[in-house]
Amino acid sequence: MSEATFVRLLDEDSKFIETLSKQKKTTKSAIIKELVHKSIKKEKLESALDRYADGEITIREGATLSDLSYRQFLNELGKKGLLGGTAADQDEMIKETLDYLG
Amino acid sequence: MVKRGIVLDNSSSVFLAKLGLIKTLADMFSLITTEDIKKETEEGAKEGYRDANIRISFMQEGKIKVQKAESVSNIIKEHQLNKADASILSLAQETGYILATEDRQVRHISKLLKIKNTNTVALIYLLYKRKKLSKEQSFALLDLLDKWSYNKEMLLKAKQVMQNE
Repeated sequence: MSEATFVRLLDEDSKFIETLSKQKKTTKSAIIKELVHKSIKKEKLESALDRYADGEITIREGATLSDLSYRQFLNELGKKGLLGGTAADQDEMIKETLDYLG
Repeated sequence: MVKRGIVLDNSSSVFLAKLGLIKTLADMFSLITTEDIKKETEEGAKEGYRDANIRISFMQEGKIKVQKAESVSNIIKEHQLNKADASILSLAQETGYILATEDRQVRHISKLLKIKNTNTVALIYLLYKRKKLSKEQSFALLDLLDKWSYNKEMLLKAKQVMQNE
C-alpha cells in the first residue's frame, strides 16, 4: 500500500523534476516516486556496506539488508575493496592453514 | 590415513572455483558444505554465474559433499546469525574441519567458537608449499584475485611471504 507524504522541494529540484517529467512524458509524481525509490535502494546498500566494513554484519546479512542476492552483494564488496581482511588476518590464516592442512 | 577437511563457505568456493582449484583441493582434502550453501550456489547459477555451475557439478560428483549441520539453531540463538551463516559454523564445529570463508564477520564468530580459519589466499599459499603450484602460478592466481577486486593488502602480504622464501 502506498502512503501519501507532503514534502516541500527545493526550487532547483522542483524545476529538474518538471523538466524530467516532460522529457519522460510522465507525471511529476511518478518521477518523484522513482527518484525516492532509487535513492533508498542506494542508501540501503551504502548502509549495509558500512555495517559490513565495521564488522557488524555478515555478507549474507548485508545482502538481505540491501535487497541484493549474495553474489550481487559480494560484487559490491569487491568494488569497495572489502573482500578479504587485513594483512594481519592473512598472516594468522596462513599459519592456521599450514598448521592444520600443511 | 584419514583426510583432513575444509568446510566451504560460498564466498571462498566462488573464488576457488573461478581459479580452478576445487579439484586439486578435493584430491587432497575432504571438501564439505551445507544444504544452505548449495541453495545459494543454485541461485548463483540461475543468475548466470558460471563458477556456480562448476560448483554444482562438483557437488553432484561428490567432490564437494553436502552435509547436514546439527547445532544450527544453537548458533543462531547465541550469535543472532542467519541460517546459512550458522550452518557452516555449526558444520565446522561438529567436524573439526577448517572453515574457508572470505567473510570477516563469519571469521570473527568462528574465532569465538574456536574454529580454525582459512581463505582463498591462504589455500593458494598452501598449494604452493605442497608443490601443487609453482611460484609463478601462485602469483598469477593472486593477480587474478586482484583483478576481481580482492583486498590488495592481503594479496601483497601473501606475495611478500612467497617472495622471501
